[in-house]
Amino acid sequence: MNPERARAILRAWREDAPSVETADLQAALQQSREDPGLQAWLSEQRETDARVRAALARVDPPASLEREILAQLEENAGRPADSADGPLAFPPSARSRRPFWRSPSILSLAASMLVLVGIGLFVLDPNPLEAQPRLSEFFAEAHSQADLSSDAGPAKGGTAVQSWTQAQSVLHDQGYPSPAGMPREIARAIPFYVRTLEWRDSPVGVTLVDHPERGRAVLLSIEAEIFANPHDLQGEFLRTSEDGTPLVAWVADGKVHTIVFPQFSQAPPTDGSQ
Amino acid sequence: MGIKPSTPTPTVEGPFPGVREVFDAYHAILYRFAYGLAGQEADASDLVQEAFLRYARSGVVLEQPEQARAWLFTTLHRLFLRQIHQARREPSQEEEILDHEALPTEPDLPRELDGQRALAALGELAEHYRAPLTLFYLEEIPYREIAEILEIPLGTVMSRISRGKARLASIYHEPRELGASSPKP
Repeated sequence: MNPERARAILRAWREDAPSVETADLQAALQQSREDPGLQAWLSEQRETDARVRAALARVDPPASLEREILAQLEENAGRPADSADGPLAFPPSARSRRPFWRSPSILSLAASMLVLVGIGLFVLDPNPLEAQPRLSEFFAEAHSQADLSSDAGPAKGGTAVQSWTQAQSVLHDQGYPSPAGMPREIARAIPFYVRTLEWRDSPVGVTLVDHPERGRAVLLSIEAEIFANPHDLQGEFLRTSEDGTPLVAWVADGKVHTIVFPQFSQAPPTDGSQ
Repeated sequence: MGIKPSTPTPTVEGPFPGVREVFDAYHAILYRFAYGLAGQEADASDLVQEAFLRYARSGVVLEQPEQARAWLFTTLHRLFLRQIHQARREPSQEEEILDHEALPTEPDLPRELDGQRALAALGELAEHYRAPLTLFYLEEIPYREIAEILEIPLGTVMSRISRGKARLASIYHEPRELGASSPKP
């Protein structure tokens, strides 16, 4: 290891952090023991770090801040939990709670929705008006509603994201179900946009993804407990929606997650989990 | 993070982790982090206040007391990011490029460094260096928690600390008045 690389590694080292002692770090530390010049440099680094650390430790919050915050916390003590006021409120404001049938996007999909729901009523569910919906209804209705995968691009009212972690965080912070337990093949996709919708008064997290081979797809996440057919909620399963679109569904973290790849006739493999 | 929305709301006098208990334990260190990010008292105070209010209103249930610290730091960092993203709508390309750059060879901070001046130099760093470096200097925060707070991989934390310290030294050596400008977004 050349001395510059050793220094670069050792710059990030903190003596109280053995948990991140990698092989590179061990090698750099060993080199510092054998190289007097590097050892002296490391000693200076530690001293410098200590000075900055001490300066930062002397930064104390103003006394008025403590009073102000405690007063506000006292005022807040009786308030109910408000997930919409969570760690991050991305635009638009969380939980718009607009019924899905009032969404502008649904108007353009009304015709196909009617066909899909009609087929669903006839083929899959003789009693669609029961209190608890069935998964098949969710597949038929919600994916049509959330079909943002057309060339028109994402609808307004969501948040651009760049990773699964970010997508999960945005939805979680808004109090909506977020993707979890993605099968390996699904996890290869890159989320690029999240939004939310309501399906039969239940919050649905919508994650748009780009799959390297299968293109753009829509992943929906919804609480599993709302469904009437718990026997369906076992592990991972492959479905074909009423319009013949293949979809993959799985249950994780108490939620049903479904994804469709409308531009492809083959469903993605379902082996393995993340 | 083991945090999930729930009820009842944690209250000032409520069950563990009560807001007051969390406040007493973490408000000072949270303020130091905010100060390192914002570089000035007023903005740092606003960030801390907002973070605690969100904690109180969130109804989060924590499995471990230490998670309250991570929750607050993460929230405060996100609040700060949101502020600077409002001024800069698109994320800087520099950040991703820098993660793949060669390791730094810049000069180091001088041994006779003045701590206050170093803090001023910290405020001159780009945010993606400023945040991990501030957390690095807050000795109580383990590396893995830094990664969790900043929502970046551990390796990226290490490389940003290393590069951030090198950049800090470059700024420190620049022949100009430090602390005269607002922190860089």
